[in-house]
Amino acid sequence: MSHPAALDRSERELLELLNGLGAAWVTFQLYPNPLDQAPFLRAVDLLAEHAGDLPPIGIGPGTFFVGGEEIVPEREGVEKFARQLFVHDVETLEVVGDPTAQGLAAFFEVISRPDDEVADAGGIAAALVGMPSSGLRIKQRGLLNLVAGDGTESEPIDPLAELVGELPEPARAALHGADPDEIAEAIVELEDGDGDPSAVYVDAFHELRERIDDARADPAASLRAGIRLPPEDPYRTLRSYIESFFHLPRWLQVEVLERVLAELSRPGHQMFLDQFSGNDLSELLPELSEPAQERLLEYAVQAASDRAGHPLDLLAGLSSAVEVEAARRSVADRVTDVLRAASRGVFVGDLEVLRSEMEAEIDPGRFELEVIRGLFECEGRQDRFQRVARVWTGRFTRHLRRNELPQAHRLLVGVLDDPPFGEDRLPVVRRALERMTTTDVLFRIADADETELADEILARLGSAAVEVLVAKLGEEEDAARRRHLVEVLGRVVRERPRDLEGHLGDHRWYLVRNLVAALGLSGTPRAVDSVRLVADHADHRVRTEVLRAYVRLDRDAAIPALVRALADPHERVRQNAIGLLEAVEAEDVDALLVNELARDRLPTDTAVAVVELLGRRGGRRAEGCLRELAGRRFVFGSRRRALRRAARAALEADS
Amino acid sequence: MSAAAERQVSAFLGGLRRLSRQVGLYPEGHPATQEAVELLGEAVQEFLDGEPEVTLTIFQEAFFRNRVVVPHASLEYRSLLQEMEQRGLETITLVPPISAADLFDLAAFVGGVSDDLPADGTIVLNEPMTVDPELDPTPASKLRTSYGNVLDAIRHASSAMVVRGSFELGTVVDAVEGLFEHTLSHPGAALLLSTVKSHDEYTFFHSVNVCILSLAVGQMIGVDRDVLVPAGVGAVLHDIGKVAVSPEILNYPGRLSAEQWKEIEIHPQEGALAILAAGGEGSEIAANVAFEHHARFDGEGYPRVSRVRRPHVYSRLVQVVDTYDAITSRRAYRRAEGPSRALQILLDGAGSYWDPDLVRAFIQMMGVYPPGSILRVDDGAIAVVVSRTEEPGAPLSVVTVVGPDGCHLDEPEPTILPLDRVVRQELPDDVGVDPASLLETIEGGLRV
Repeated sequence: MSHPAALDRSERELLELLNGLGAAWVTFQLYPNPLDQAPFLRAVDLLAEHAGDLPPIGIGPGTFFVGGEEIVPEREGVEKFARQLFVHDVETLEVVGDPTAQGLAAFFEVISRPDDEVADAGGIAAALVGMPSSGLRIKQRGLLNLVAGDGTESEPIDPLAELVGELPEPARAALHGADPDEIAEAIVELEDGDGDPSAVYVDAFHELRERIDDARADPAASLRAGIRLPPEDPYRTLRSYIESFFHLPRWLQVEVLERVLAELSRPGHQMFLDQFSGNDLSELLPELSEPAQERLLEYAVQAASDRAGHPLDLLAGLSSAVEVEAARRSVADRVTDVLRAASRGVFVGDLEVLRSEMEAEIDPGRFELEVIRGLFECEGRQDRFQRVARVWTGRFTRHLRRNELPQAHRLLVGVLDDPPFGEDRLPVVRRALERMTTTDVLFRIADADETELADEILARLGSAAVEVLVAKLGEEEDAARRRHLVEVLGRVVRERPRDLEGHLGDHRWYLVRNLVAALGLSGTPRAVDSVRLVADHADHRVRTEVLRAYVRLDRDAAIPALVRALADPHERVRQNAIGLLEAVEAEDVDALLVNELARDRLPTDTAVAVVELLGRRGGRRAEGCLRELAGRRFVFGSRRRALRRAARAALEADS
Repeated sequence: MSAAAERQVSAFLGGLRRLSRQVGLYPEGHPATQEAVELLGEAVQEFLDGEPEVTLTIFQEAFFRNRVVVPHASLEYRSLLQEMEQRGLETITLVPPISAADLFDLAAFVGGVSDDLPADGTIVLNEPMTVDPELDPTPASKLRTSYGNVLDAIRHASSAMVVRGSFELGTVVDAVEGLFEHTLSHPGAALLLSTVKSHDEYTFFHSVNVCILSLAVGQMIGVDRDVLVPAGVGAVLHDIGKVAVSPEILNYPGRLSAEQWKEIEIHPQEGALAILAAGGEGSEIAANVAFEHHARFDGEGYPRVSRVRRPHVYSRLVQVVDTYDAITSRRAYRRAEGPSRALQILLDGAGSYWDPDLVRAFIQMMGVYPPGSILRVDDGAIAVVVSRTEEPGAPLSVVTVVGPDGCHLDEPEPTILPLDRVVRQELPDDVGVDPASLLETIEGGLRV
């Protein structure tokens, strides 16, 4: 790929070309007819201009190379172009001349296809055969061969030639995809020559493993060197190679194993042994030399004690080949013992226990909650924790849709009342709840038959529900739905009325009125403090609602506020206060009303209404007050006369 | 059918599938198709194996080579088989030397690109004489089909999980119900079929095998059908979370580092999460099985959570059969062990790793030599156990597949084998025998 003159060429020209190709590539992707677009035609011109001038350009994942130096793309389109070439295993790009717009479009069309589709069809080079001239020639990477593609004849180049040439024959066979038995055959054939087959086998193993490790550490470099490992299983070739061990004659297996065990700490040797089953090792063990036996047993103990090893497997706990043999023989005996016990009925009881356990009634909701709690508890990754939270809320709403309120309740309460996660995760959970909480969800909960459960759920949704309902209340025009919203909101804030306080300063009087109504409907005396915050609201309709809320929340505590409201500047507030006071039976109401009359500060209409109210209440104190008013013989002013008239009327009505 | 013969059929079908895709993309004569034709030609030579004529039959969702079923390839190339059935293909008769043009025509026909039949006479489609019209479906073929259906369901579920993070549970449930019916009526055959392994699709085949074995244990214990199906769904989905683990780690050929183990250990929670997201009836139980299938009986294991109880009995059941099937399978990091060795490992871990009652129940069901065990006999012959041993120490019901001279028999020979004639157990890969291919033999001989 490198070109001696590469760095001597004008880098500006190279960049100009790459920028031009990048722009054309973007144009190709964006426009239905890219051939009409200026950037596309410009690229064709550039290709013609630089034909034969430039060295082969190496392709990396999102970048280009010339002479081993990286040409960092200046534009995103160039980077994307490089990436697309890279995924199609294009190793180098050469400007060969004779470009046509149709050819460049065809070139782009091929590289725009999914890589697996192109690979299945024989690779990028094959796909470009027969296309009109694009002015570009590519070289394709391949595991075992390299093909030139541009419609010209392929070059019979083996990119692994150098690499493979260095490898011992068995490893070469493995790289060529030979079956394990064929690899073994190649090794055995070495016996007839000068080589020591076991040494060759072990050396080849190391060569292969190192090549693969290098390739994994730097996939781009390995691709440039022509090695392409299956990404999902890069060690397939190595495994296949180790498998060939089991096709070797026993004497050779023993020799190989002796070599491996002699240098057990050498990198790769333990991996080699890891591939063996316990059965494999126990069969070979008796045939090994004593030092090799010792090392193998040492390895087995180490492997078995390793968390990532094969616990209870291999040869742990055994200290000699004799014991291994004995253990092997005991396998069938031990299992047979178990079976004999079974035939004597030892297990009958066990099976009964198992059957009853398996047939015990299953509560899916319990499983659901336990798994969700477990997932919340063990998930340490932030993004997956969010996913758990979403699945949790998703299951909750699914239950709601199916009218399974008890299940929904269990799932929500079971997590929120005893959170299986730390406090630092609470914001994530809260956000999930907020996302889930829509008015539809809230109405489904609120309208369920199981009102007690519904209230518990609503209470736990707390601030998430408050935000949704308040926002909806602010925009809902239908009066019936507004009433519904207020009712639901009242149930939501039953446990935490202060959640509404943040919204009580809203500039929309009607919203504040509804919030006060919701506080009133919550029925909890603790809401009085929140209501009190807007007791002096500028809008009389809010003040009126405040009075109603007081009465609903704490009738006794409401009395002084109602009495004070008799002096409210707005007539409707005062009328409401009168109406509400009438419904209050406490005796001290009479005294308060009498005092208020005595202070003589109420507007006349309200004072008259209070007199009439006292008449209707009919208590001893009220009657005394009325008699005093009615008995005045000389009064001056219309207000006093009105009061006397009202008192007399009240007394007459009473008699 | 020997494992080698199975491989030949697989190679032929693999080559045919590749070429049928190529012809949809490139014209005849294109280098890509030429290369695929050449590869198919090589596979055909192996497939013919020197015989003057070979017929591949497509019947009852299975491939047959010269009237002998090819079980593994029937599952592995199930989608190709279905495509062939849709195209009305019943037989493909190959008469060497096969022409490249006929191979191309065959692939074009199978791929639906052309309706032209091979014209050179070296490949004959649907030759009337080779099709026996009186064939009836057999339990074995139905069982194999239901196995394939579960395989399809788990494949689809896994790919949907990769794409969408979730999948449809209903399809899996339906497939498991079908498999359950056939496992129930032919438990011996089902156990034999559960020895099918795949290196490339280990997790999928393993999942179906775990499902069969779990259902079989449940059946032996005497559990009701309604209870077992959800357990089977949990069993088949227990490893679905592995799609979230890097394949490079899953396929790493050695002991894993702590970091790699950390990634492996997320698969129960990923699986449970996906199942819960899928929803549907039974999702809670299946999710629980997926979540708990590495939680040990003694409270250890992973994922580590503050459990207040032991793993549920379904999870414990899946743990036992999961271990058994994993040990007896060739893994990326270890070669397969024999069934007896697997049973011993289960016994050793009973009470700590696994529920002792379930381990014993499992061993009781499987016997010393479970169906599918490959035994070396004292005269050098190789036999495969084809049904369960009811009484300990009782002779084994086997079929001899390799004679004392080391040659594979054309027709497996059923026989009764006293236990004392067993020298040792062999592994399928070591002796080139695929136990699952004997399914039809024990079910009364399905021959086309």
